[in-house]
Amino acid sequence: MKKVLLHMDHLKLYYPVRKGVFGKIKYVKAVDDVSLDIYEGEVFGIVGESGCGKSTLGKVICKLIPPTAGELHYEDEDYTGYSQKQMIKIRKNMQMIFQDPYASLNPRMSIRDIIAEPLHIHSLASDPKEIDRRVVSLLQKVGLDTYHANRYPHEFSGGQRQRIGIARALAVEPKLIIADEPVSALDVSIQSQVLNLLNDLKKDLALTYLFISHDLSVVEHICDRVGVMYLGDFVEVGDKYSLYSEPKHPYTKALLSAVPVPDPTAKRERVILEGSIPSALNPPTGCKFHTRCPNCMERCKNETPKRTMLSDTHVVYCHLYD
Amino acid sequence: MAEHKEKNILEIKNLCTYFFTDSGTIKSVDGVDITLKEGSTLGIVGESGSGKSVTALSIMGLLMGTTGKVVDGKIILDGDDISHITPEQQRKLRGNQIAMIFQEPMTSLNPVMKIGNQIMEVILLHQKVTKAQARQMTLEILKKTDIPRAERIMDEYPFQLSGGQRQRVMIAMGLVCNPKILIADEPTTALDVTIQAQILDLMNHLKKTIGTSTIFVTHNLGVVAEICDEVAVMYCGRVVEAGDVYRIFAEPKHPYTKGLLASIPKLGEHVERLDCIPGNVPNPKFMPAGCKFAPRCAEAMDICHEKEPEFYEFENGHKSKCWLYDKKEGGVGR
Repeated sequence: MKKVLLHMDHLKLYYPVRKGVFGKIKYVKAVDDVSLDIYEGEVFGIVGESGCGKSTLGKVICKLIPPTAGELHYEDEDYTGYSQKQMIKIRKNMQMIFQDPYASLNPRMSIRDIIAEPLHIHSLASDPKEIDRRVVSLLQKVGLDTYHANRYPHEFSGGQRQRIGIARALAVEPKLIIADEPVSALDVSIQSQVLNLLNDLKKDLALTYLFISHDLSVVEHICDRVGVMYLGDFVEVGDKYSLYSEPKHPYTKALLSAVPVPDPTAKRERVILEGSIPSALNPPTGCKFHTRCPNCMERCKNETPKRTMLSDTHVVYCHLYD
Repeated sequence: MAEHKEKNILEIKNLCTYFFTDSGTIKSVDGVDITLKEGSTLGIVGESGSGKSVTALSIMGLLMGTTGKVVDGKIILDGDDISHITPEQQRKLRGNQIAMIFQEPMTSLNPVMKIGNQIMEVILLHQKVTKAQARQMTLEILKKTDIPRAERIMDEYPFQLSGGQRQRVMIAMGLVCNPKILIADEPTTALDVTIQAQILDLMNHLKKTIGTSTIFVTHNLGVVAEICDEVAVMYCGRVVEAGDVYRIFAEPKHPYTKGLLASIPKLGEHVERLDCIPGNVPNPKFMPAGCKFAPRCAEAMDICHEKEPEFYEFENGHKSKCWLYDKKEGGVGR
């Protein structure tokens, strides 16, 4: 039986927006009713276009932004209402890797200090010698050299900085890593190096990843299960084999067909979607995708589609399969 | 394209663009040769720092205001060398004979000018037409880019449009004067995949109907495969391999091209590990001697670290700068 590491129950995050001084308060529904389980040892990928709420979901899980409603459980512990102080205990098990390796490292701190900071925060080591030993072993784990410890972020290339970010996340020996677009700022040749590193670390340290990305081929490569998000909620969740080979939701189909294939002889049967993602301030009624859906029916316009189980591992939210 | 002439609309020969900074000279582009056939699309691929954007800016003559300068080489546009013309003459070319589309559609449009006026500005600057005629031309070109409600968008501001619509406006602006060449510098990189697909579809359609010769600068090999006829792969300011898109993807010759193609995860392909190119792009201030790729190359020989290779030609104009194809130096030959 697979063990549930992270459990989300009807998670919501609404940002209040007021137009004008006396205007009515409206809500941007960045995360809208997400329920999901992440199992121990798996790599769960979240894909979607910009503005679908995938990064916000990552931040809500870490409680960098407190959720508006819903529940969050780590193992069996409900941490939804935890204070910042209480969160430290949870965050020891849950660390983040960020997209932009240029913005996520403090330029005034040496690499040693950057990697040692989580050790101080979580009081895992206080003896300077012990800290040095740990920093060195972390640097080696991510494929950097010992002498790099005394340097500053500006001396490193993008790929190396991302390795430093990974070392920092690993410092507290977490179980779950939330990686928010960890390779999208990197060049192709460097991207594959970092992906291989993430894969190796996962095996060596028995990690669980929540991998957020807009790149469908990267997600297929690294993930075991994939969830496709659209306007704040999942439209399809499945193991990668069935989701990529037999996508069910029209949005997943369109998304997959839009990926440029690096083969000039490949035949393309492309589903071109019209328009762009609607505003989360005023999402369409019924199925949120119906305004762009090529298979839109009458009931899609008013009725929110229910969860349909296609198999044990494949779930879709679409009236076509109801 | 009905009349397919094999005419080179743009020829770049040994282009060298250096940046003179306080801490030394940076040779961003160092001996680039590129030919663009009329009516075709050439893709320039490379990683960041490979000099692909600087090549594009050199063609456009957009280096003033930077420390960069074209120090050597020829840029021949339709028979005329435009590498050393006055800024006055350059201004006449830009937007008229050579147009450019940039990566960030938000920052390259003027936020306080209506869309219609921005496009009309190009026409009024280069052609002797009345304002009413210019407005009509603007509307026509906007309609060609399949932008929804073209009439209304003429009187809207860039912030009212989505990213994809802004990029369509940029394309319209680039094409409105019927330029001889269009340079698109990462035009879809800032866009989502579904929007990218729309824009690529549009550019492919425009290529068929208008027949513009295009240089497409990108780092995405998938995009290259979809839209380009020919490819030039750049590394450290040089073209290391060039040729027909089918040949480059089917039979890459240069170890760098091979490495790039192997390192991208492909849909529907399940591999345990990705092949990758070890190491990083060298610091432009400390370029290795010999072949610039040698320190990262698995097949490097002694000669690679000493001397820079020249182009070795294969069938159909496919060529690669690599010692491996020189039998005398210990390579496998062609």
